[in-house]
Amino acid sequence: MTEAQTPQPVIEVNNLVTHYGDRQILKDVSLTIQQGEIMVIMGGSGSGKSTLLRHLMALENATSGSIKLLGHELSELSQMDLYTLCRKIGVSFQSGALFSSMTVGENIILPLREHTNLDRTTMNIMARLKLEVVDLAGFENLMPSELSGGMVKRAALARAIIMDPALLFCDEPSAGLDPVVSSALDELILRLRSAMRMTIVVVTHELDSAFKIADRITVLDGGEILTIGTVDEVRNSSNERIQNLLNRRFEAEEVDPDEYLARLMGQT
Amino acid sequence: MEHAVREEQGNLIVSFQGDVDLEHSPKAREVLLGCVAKGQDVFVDLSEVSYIDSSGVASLVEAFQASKQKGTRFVLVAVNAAALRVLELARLDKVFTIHETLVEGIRGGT
Repeated sequence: MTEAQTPQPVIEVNNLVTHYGDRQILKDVSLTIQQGEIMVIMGGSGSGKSTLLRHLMALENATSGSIKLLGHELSELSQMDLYTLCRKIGVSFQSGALFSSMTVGENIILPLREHTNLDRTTMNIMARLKLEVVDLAGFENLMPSELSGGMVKRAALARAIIMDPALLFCDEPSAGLDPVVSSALDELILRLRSAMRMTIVVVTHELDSAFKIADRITVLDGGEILTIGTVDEVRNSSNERIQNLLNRRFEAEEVDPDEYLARLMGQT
Repeated sequence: MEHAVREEQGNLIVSFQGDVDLEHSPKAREVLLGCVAKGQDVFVDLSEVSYIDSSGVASLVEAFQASKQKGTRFVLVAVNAAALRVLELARLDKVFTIHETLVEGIRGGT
């Protein structure tokens, strides 16, 4: 990597369509994310943002369309090639997804043990470096159950970046955290991008967090992209559905009682 | 990654070129620990390092600790901006002795 490198697309999604059964979840979704960019994907419940993230993590098969990650067309990769590609991708899951039977240190070091033949001393130092980065120094011997919610998120982030991935996915990194802890996580994501030149995709419904960290924001609603733009472009959008989101009314959509009841009764 | 080791005024100068990453850091570790084991002061020139990841940084940390145990100097010189950002992320710029040039490093204190 050089300082003056021209940004390259790290993620290219073209006309992605996906269904769960008969239900269409993503409707012709296309977006490009450049190297070193922080892209925030926003939307209310059922907007398709988590489904899109799962596609980007190669965990779902699309009905149609294509996804290219780090120059590789996902549908054309063999299992072995996909495994190799995944070494360059870090994922911080919403729940943390730490193994409860392992210490924090063991959790963080796990990807190194799975994917590398590094010396044990090197792996231990790397894990402690990441704990320093996420401000969890000295917590390596604790069990996940002994951590607070914010600490679990940070430990999960440490594990996600242990391999210094080119691409980092964060699913709701701030969800359920108090504002101070949430803000610290935002700062951490910004520092990771700055220091490691990571491309970072964050799925969140936290507006403050999104506005703080995003280079661009993709707004999803009902499985389709409403807009992709900078923070200012999204803020100043005249689109009513986007403004509903910004006014935090996204989750409180109008309810059609008959339709809702029919859904509950399995009649739709 | 390529590397070179030379001796100047009783010091060992190690220079790396290219990426010091997961693939190459085992070699970097071997070179660094080998130099420290000789009991001479070691100066690591990072000016030609295009990218260093945390496995490379871990090798620097391990070699630095080994030099402290030997009572010798282990100094980073000509650290480029990209490498410095990685060191700063974990506040290692406060741990390592870092000089802008090799001449300053050799002349400087611990």
